[in-house]
Amino acid sequence: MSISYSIDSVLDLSYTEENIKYVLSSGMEQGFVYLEDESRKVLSISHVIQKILFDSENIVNHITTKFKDTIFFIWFFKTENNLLIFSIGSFGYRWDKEFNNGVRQYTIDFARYIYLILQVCRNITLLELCTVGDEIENIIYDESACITAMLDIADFDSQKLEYISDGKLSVRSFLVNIIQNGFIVEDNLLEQNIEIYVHEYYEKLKKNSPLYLYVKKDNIPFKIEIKPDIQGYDLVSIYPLARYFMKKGYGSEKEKINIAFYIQRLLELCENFAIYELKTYF
Amino acid sequence: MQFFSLFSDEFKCISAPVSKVSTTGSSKIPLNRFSVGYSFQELPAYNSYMCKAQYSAIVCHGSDHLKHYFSTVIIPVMYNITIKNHANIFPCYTYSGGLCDLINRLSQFDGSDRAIIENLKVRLQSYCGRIEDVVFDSHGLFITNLSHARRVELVKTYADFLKEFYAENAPSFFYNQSRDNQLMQQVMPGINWNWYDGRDYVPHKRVAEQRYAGSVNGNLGQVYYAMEQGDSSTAYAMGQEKVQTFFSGRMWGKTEEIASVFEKYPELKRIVEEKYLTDQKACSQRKQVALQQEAKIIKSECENNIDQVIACDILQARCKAAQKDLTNFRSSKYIHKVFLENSKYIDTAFLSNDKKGIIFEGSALQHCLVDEAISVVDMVVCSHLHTKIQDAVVDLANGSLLSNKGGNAITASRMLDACWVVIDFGKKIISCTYTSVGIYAPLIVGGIAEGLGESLHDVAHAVCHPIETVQDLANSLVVVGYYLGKAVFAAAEYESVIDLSLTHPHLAKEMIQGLIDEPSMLPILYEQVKKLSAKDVARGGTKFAADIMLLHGINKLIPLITKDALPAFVNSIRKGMQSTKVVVAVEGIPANCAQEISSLMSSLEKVSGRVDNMVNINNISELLQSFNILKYDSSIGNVKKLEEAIKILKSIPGSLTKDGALFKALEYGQRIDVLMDSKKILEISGRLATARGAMYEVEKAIELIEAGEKIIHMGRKIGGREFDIVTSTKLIECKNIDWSTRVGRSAEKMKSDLGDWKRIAKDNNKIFELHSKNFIPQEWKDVFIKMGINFVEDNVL
Repeated sequence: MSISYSIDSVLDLSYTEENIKYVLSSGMEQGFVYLEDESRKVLSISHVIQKILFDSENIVNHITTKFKDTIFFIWFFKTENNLLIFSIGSFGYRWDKEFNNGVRQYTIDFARYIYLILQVCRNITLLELCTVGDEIENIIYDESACITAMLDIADFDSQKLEYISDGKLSVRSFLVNIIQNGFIVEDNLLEQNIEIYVHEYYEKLKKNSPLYLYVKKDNIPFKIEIKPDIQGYDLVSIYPLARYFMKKGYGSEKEKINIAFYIQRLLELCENFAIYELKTYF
Repeated sequence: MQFFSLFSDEFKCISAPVSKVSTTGSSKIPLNRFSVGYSFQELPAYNSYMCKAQYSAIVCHGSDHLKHYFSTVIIPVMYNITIKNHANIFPCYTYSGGLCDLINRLSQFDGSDRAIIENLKVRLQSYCGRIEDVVFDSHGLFITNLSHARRVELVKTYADFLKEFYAENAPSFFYNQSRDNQLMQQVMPGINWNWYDGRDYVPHKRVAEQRYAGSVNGNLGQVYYAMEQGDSSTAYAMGQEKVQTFFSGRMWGKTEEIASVFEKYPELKRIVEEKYLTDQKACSQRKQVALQQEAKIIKSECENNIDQVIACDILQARCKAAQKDLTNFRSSKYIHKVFLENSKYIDTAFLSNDKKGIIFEGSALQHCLVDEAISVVDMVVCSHLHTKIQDAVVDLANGSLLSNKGGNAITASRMLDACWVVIDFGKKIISCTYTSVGIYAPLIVGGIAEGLGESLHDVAHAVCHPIETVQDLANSLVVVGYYLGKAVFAAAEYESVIDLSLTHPHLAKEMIQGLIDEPSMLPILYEQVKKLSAKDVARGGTKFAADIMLLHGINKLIPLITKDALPAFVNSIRKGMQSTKVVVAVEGIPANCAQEISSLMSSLEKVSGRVDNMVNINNISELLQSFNILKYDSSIGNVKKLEEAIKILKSIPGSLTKDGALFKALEYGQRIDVLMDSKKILEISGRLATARGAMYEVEKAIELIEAGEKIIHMGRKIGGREFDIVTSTKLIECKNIDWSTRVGRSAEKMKSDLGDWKRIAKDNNKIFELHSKNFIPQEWKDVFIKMGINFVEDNVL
């Protein structure tokens, strides 16, 4: 069973032709090229709209989209309360990457695709975002208001020596991500005493204890939580803290929490770790 | 803040577009100034629909992108339609929807352009309508011979277009273009450059339908286009194609008709037919000359007995046939019998309807080559060669038939040469399997065999592995590469000669002559490789062969070679030559190859990583011995099932890699002793689903093998998407899911995936098949049927 990945984002826009056009135009500004499925001819936005909204003969409602060296489908769905869901997925010639941090993996580079969605929706308020693996759904399981990514930082349970060094290396990489991406940690001593922290955090994770860090970026505070889960993966979450970073995007009636901002922070934290899943819970 | 109309503002214009845009600051509208050495009379605006040509919305408000689109696409097309070639207006001439396509593309422009686009579209559609009024008659038929008056009208329409969109620059623009056009020169003095017809034209639906029917649903455009491209065969075929056209009645009902372009346009039929017959005659003559030249080459080669590898009786048969062609060239048509059980390996395009043989028309040499291709297929099918080798040979034999049918006897014979050496190579592999010792040998042999069809880098790595026992094999591989390269090169050379014969027939003749007297590039390379030490042959020679075979699916490529792709194709062959240089560089000669060596070495290192990813057969049995059944879910943990699977699948590429189905099942299928906790049950359900899915792939592969299917690969990426099982005819996706849960978004995405898989299969001349372990609900079956997807349901309710 081939795993077909996709990323769904719920936008603070109603499901209308105009709003779909807006998203498509925004994609085009980023360099999206919309193609006909069979002939691979370039489609104009009006053709795309015609195809997905008005062509009753059409069994599939996707738009084949080429962006740089990757090809994917775009879908537009609606939520029960008529909000627009912008989805990309079924990546052909997909962006894969050999991830150096954590357990080494050559797999899909979700972060790059998520950044792409954030770029396309830069003027729109994002309400939800989640990655979907066609065959591996519902692995992340959380109920709090947070954004969670599932990684494989290291095998902390193993008693073998090589895993110990791998585990410490991964914790170190994680802390380096925090420092290099300009996060301000509470006591601000992380950089000077990094080896002490590596040891301390490694020991915590080894005991299956969750790890909490209170940080700020651009003066916006949030909490980072890292906790191993039952399947041997590690869940890295960001919990926005007051004062929240708010946004009122195109078509929005009022300001909402800028989820895109927090997602970007999570991606920075997880830089060079393979993200297996990412989901927002708000 | 100032408001003004988009297209005209300082004049009264009843039908001028009404949209307004706002801008800040003052907008100075330039006055008309012409620098063209022309004198003309300024006439007053005599009609209310005339608009003053002194302001261009594009120039004033268009973004740079829009301006660029206008100047590089719209204007040239308008010029073509009105002045140069009126056929440009047809759908399917250059654009599927004709000029309307270009107008619709304006919707792509956004931002600052958004305000002017809608009106721009209306205005361009108006021009389109005006032109159509001139080039179509009242019955919606295209006027093939436009009268002088109509042509003048078109020139004036073009002038109006320039006036509207280029304002004061229109005269100079028009003047420059008129230098090559007498009619434009004649019409220019009578044009009033200050005013243009600003009426919006919306064609009546019935008129539009009538004109579309008049263009025979776009076929007329295709006929004209093919003629312009010099492709009279396509023009002739398209002209005869009948299509159903319709247009609405004046009051009610509709007029339906089944007609062809030729039926509607008898004069066009005469012209196309004449050109087609002339071209056919010339082509046939050219083919005959080429075949005779090729017969000469083949005869010469056979007589000199250059190719020792090829069996003598085969060479003699070719030689005799070539001799016959040279003395008495005659084309004949008869059937070559094929064993019924082997007919499935031959492309149906060549087979007779009852599949008992190949009906072929050609010279003696061509018939001889057909017989040889059939012999090749017979031999390879009966042999015990690796499936990859069998596939490669069968594909090459089919490629040879295709080249032969196209009148290219040299390529056909080169490909058959390649077939024989590949068979020979395959036999050596079998012998090596039995004689070689050491745990790596089977791996290497497998790699090489696989490499023939697909994974060439693995081949390079495997053979570069410094193991003495494979050197002979490597040598054989060089020979294979040589012949494959020769086949490819012959095809490319043949195409070049054909191209050349159209423009420089004498040169082409010399080139063909050259093939007899001088060895081509690849044999020289082969000689170079032969001079090197055995180790280097294994290293560089194999890389050379592998590079040549980077054009894997060679046979599939050859029929697809187009003129445009030729340079890239020939360059690929030259890669082989570069690799040989690298080998020379290892001996310490040219320093400028250092970069090449380093890149070669780094690519080999990468390859070694991939090969390491393959699990050693010995390790699997160890793994199984340590396999703790209690740790696994019952759907996965069946040792007997796993042992059987490994035994059957071990020779299939992709099945026993760490990312392969079997290992995925083992990795994800471990049951965790925490099932009392309901939350955790939910958490691990995803992993078990993956494991069961992977195990289903394994079961399905075994089932297919037992049913006699030839599995080429498991878990292979084709066209950017992964397929679970690849057989010689099918791309298979296995699903072990509960279909009833596939609703909403998930269902839509699944449908998209299915459509894409089917498209890729079609592009690769294979059939896409979906296998489901579980019962498929009727609504999903309906979807599959509607999408034309074959499905197999293992469990039926």
